[in-house]
Amino acid sequence: MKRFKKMIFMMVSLLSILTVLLAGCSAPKGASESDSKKDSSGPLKVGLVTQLSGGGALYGNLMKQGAQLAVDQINEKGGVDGRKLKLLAEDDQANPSESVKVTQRMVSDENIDAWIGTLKSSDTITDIGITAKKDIPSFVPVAVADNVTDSGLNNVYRNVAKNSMQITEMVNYILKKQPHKKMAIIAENTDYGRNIVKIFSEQFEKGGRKITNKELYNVGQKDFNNQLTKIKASKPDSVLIAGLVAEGALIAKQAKQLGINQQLYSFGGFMGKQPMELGGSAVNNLIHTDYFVPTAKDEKTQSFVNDFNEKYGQIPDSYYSAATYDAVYLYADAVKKAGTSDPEKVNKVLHELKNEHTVMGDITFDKNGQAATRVWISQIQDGKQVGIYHAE
Amino acid sequence: MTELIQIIVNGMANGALYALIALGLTLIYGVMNLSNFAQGEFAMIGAFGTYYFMQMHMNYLMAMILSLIVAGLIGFVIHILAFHPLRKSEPLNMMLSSLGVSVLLVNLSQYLFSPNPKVVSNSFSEDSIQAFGVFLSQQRILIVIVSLILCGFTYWLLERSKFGRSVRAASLDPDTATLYGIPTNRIAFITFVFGVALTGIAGGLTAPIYNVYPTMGISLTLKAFVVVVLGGMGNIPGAIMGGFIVGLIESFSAGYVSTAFQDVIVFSALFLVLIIKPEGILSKVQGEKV
Amino acid sequence: MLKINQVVSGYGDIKVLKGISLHVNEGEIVGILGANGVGKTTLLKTISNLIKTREGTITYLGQEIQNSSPHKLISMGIAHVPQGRHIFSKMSVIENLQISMDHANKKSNGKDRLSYVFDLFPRLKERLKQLGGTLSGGEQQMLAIARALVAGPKLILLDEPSMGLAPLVVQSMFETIQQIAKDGTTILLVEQNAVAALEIVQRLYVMDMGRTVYESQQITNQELDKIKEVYLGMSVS
Repeated sequence: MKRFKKMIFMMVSLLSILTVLLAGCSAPKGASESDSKKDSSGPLKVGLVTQLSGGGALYGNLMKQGAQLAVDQINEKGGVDGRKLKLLAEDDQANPSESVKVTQRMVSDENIDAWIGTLKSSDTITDIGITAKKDIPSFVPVAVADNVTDSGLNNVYRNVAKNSMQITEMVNYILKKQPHKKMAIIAENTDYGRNIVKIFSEQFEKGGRKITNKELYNVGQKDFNNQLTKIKASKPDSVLIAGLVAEGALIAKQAKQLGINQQLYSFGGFMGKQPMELGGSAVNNLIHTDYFVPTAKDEKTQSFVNDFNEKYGQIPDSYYSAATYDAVYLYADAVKKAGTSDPEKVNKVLHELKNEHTVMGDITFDKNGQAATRVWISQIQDGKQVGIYHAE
Repeated sequence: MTELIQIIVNGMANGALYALIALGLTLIYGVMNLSNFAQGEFAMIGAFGTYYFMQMHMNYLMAMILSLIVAGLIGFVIHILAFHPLRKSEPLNMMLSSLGVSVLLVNLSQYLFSPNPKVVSNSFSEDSIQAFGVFLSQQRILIVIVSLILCGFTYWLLERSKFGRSVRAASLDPDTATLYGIPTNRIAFITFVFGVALTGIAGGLTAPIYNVYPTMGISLTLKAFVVVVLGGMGNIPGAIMGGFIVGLIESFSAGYVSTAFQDVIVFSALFLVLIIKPEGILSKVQGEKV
Repeated sequence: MLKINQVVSGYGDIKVLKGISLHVNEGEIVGILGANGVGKTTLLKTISNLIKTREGTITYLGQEIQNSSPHKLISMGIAHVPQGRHIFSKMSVIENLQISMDHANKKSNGKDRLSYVFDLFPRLKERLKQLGGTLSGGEQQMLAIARALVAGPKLILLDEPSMGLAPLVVQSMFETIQQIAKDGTTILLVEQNAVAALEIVQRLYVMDMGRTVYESQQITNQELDKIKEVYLGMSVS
């Protein structure tokens, strides 16, 4: 019996190790060759840290494509005051320790002039702690957790609306344009999901409407019948999915199969093509927030979409490329305006920007470096993303 | 009332799936004394197989049968490379080896198939059957039926056939089984391949409702271990019962306590069983199997 | 029938049998006596090939068997009743017997063997459906021997059949063993209970330190006392 218990104990420990191992199991890459020493006539080095292998590689590569497009365009026009831009993109495997390592190497060995990253808010926060020591202008085009721009750093710029902004936009949209009065929330059991539950419920109920359920699920879960059965029993008129598309698409499907045909709402996770691929007809009519709509009648957006399509042969369908593209331009323009790549002066210029027109919207960074870019309300209509609303 | 019935239906439907995966795991544990941490990866292989065979325009049934053969073949190779050489060493070594196999298979499939989820859709997967306000998708009905058939077949095979007698004898006492003419190494081989093929079918069955991606097996392994420990390691009826019990605990705790705590409650039940009756709830004869 | 010649075997680095030689003739009950840990059980396991023979040969009916697969021996007519009985505890009595019959020497008739066994051990017939683990110690030993017999063996290797049994049960067990030998099955008996064993064996070896240290061709009373005193450490009054 003792031996049996020992086996069980071993098994439980091994399972925990397994979970940790799988969180980041590929081997680190060797350091790229470094050409140290900053010099003011050589190229301006822009470091991009994002996931280029494994689970989120799809999104990391979209960021890289956007950045590369901007770099190429700027260099074609002669660079910035005669200096070319050089993009250094490195893989952080969406792993916190790897991300720190890559960023550290870029800062100390490569002497980057600007930093852009990453896919994950938690990795971003630790990385900008490193770039802050040398005041390197650092752009956060993708990660949206509120606390990225709460750290009071003077060198961090987020050119995408933060999470609480998209929640507020969604609540405002529903209160203004939709009749739904009783909403059920099914949320992933993470900071992201729990934050949405908290902020959304407060604002929604302040608007005089009701939340019927707050059901949680774990990331990686595949079966949501238990949550959905509970939701169905309280007869809401709409359901909000506070999670990402991998689980969200399954939730939409399983909801249909349980006979839940109410209007579905969600957030940025439902951007792009993936929801349709994973959810099929079950996600039809789902309404979600979006940061980028390729069909927007905006000159800047249209020229970006055309150039991107020309270079890569596809329409950029989500904000990853657009926001990273913008970040490169924001930096290049700031260097031009400052007349130098000296971090202190570039940071000053960036903080003084007023309504700078970019693909993502008009950018004014507040004292924490947060910009209020445009939040769209989009709807999936017959397999296509359609921007249906945005606040003026 | 409708909600209660729906909760029971949900629990049973998930339970059938858990039972099927746990069955393969417990069978392998019983005969080889191997806690196979790579069990869920064979569901992943079965699911990817089903996806790719359907991409070649095969129908769902055909694709599933072929992919269970693929899962079995891969299991055969893995048994030769990773487990057979360790059969005489400490069980811990085989357990570690299975952990390595799991990591290897997950990473290999991420490399080969990319980590993005793939969608399998067959003619049943979308629609539901409805009675008195209770819904169950046709795919889940299929899962329950196939799983019950396979559980029944495995039970019959073990309890009533000459082969099953040999398997049970080899699992109870390998040395004595050898003395009485049972080729225990061969039995271990066949059992492993059979056990992972069962799990491969489970993967093919779940593909249409859960999608297909490299890490899909990990949570299944975890669930199967909970079921197997609950039902008694190596205990076949225990695994089948345990599957349904875990499914029902989950659905009831989600329905009547909190969805945030459903896993907490399942694991609490597991710890309770480990403390009160560590040989498993269905075990009659006292004493350990090892 | 069985000839063991200079056999060396053991576990890992430890040699337990250090060049043992002995033989068993057809129809005999041969006893192997010796204290705990001298290698008696290892000897039987080596004959059955559960433990590899490192040096030397084991010849059975004129054929060297030290390299054959252990699961093939039962069909060649060698049945091993292991120490501690090792019946399949979670299987019924009849299943325990079926396992053996499944792999038996196919030539002999299964039904006859089954009824022969039930004649020897009527108690088993009453408990066919009972799980092996729920039988009493004596019944488990009966089952272990019955399981060997239903395979229709020519030679039975019996390892400590008296272990853990009450004296009365031991006595009837040994009578049965004698009966089995009379019915034509050769028996190699390993025993620590020398007194009981000496009653039925026709020839015996005494083992110590992985070798035979004494071999008796014919057991006289005088010889018996000497064996008891010198090799088995019993005081003879």
